Amino acid sequence: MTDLPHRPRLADAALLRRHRINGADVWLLHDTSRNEVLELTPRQVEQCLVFDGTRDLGGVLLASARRGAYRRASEVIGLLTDLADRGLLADGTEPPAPQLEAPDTTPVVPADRPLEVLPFRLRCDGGGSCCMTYGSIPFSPDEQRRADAAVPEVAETLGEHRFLPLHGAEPSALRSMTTLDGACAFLEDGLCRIHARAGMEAKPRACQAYPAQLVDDGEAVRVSVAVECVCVLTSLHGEGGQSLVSDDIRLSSLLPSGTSVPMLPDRIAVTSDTVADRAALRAFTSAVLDIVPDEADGVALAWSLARHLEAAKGLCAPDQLELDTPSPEELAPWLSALHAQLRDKCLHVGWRSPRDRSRLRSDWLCNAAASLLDAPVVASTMAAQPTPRDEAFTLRASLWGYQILTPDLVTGLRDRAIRFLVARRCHDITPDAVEPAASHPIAAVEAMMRGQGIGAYVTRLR
Amino acid sequence: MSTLASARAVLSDAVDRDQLDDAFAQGTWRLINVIEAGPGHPAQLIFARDAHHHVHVVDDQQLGLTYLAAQGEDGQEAIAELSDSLPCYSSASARADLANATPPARARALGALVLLEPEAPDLESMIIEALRDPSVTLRVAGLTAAAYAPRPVFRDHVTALRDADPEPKLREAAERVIAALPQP
Repeated sequence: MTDLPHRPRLADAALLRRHRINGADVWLLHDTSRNEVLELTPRQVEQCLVFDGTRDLGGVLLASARRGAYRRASEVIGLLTDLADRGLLADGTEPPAPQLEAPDTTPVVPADRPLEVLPFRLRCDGGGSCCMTYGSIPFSPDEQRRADAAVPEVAETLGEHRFLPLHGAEPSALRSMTTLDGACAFLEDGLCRIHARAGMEAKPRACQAYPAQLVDDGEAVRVSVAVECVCVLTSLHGEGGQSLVSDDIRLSSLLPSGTSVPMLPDRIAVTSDTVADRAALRAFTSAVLDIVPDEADGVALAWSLARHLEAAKGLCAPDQLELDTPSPEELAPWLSALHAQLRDKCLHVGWRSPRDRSRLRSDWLCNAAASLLDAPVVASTMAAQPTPRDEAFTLRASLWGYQILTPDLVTGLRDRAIRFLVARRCHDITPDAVEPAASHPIAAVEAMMRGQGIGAYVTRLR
Repeated sequence: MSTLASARAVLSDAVDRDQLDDAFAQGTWRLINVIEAGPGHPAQLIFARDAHHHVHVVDDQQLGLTYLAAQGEDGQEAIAELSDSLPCYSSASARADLANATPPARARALGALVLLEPEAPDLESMIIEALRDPSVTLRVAGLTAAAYAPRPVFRDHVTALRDADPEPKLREAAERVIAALPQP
């Protein structure tokens, strides 16, 4: 049994979530470090909310009692012990050091960078598909107030705890909205009620920006796209649409306040034992982007790039890149790890509504991955290329937005090859329900990889 | 050291925290405060039924006892109600133990009687007997009891311990208790 922290705080790896399924509340704690889900009672949720790092055990018991959530001390201690054993408790916050000098109140001005926007125009179909994809829908306090004002019936229906901390415990700068059968509670008949009643500007910043992804690489802010919504891929076929950021914004300082622009680290892992600085990575990705055609065998291209970097033992211009497909033997451990991850996911989706898209996609992807454990199926899937344009674009977007660096660039590239392969297989397997991404499965695969933690399968390779 | 208020019930050693929580929950009592042990006061849990009804659960390490305490007439009722659902150590059991049991059990019994019958006419003689007992455990219990129920009559007996007890720590404790005893 793990010792309890003196002032227990729910760790950031713990995601407390409320899902309303067929009209009944299900309270969950997602253990993102183990990719497991714990179902909680309402009383345990109240108890978790007092694990905020400010109270010792006596204070925790008392705060639980004040929330009406105290029944037995052993119950609270048992919950704390379970969380500690899972590594989901951190020690509390230290009191702030006394401030002896007046604080410097000069506002911090972020570096201004030119925006480099992926050449792409999005045609959103307005069907709310993205609002049914993710388990966490972040709102800032202002966004919560705007949403409550625009759609008061959601607050009336769901009452307290419709928003819970995005990560760990309170206080939390961002909080996640309750889902109804796997979809955002503000979604109705495929439409966002906040948008419908108060306009685009009233929606949370993350929803407004979606699916754009911004990253500051030290020279520019690259604006790419998360290929996690089928609209992204259907937008490749046809005219019109909107740029990922407004066409008149060309400098990062002009981005709407609250826009998330994470900074690329100074040093990037190329392989498990080689690193490069971010300027070199920028140059490398630019060079690769020059050679990615409009249609490509994404599996061969991503795998060949990984081989090229591994052979060069670091970043090296892709001039001499030899395109070569991986053998089924090379792919086998990757596919096995992915299948194990998906199988575990399927074991933990029993709480989800039968209409929940993540549940349906877990089954769909798991079936695809299971069939790829058979070498002849791998060979035939390698030969088929149902969506070469989707694969080329997804690789391009990933490179543009530096989305392939976890845990290192070479692994990220191989992971992309695996994702393309599974998406090809999904193309041949009919999903159990209406699936908007049935013709462009890469969007479903990408969404599950990031949004549902399936991408963690690469850690099983080590 | 003052004793707490009017109504008390000493809990049996077998009572665990779950039983305690269950008994309070059954009586619709809410936990309203948790007080850690500190200099001069034992650890306590305070439960309330409303703004006027409070029950303290005192974990008294000096007496080696956990007891319930409440004030006023309503306090008597509350303690009686809780005692119905919690195994308690009665004064009758304490008196029986004081007469026959081993020194640790007799020490515990004396502590319980100090809490349960602080005004009993024979309490003085029980404490004096403990202060003169050959067992160190009993003499310590006698000193503690004298501190909880301070009376001038103990002064000579405690002074004798301070001056002549073979246990140095007991002599030091006696010195502190003398300071708390009223003058004759």
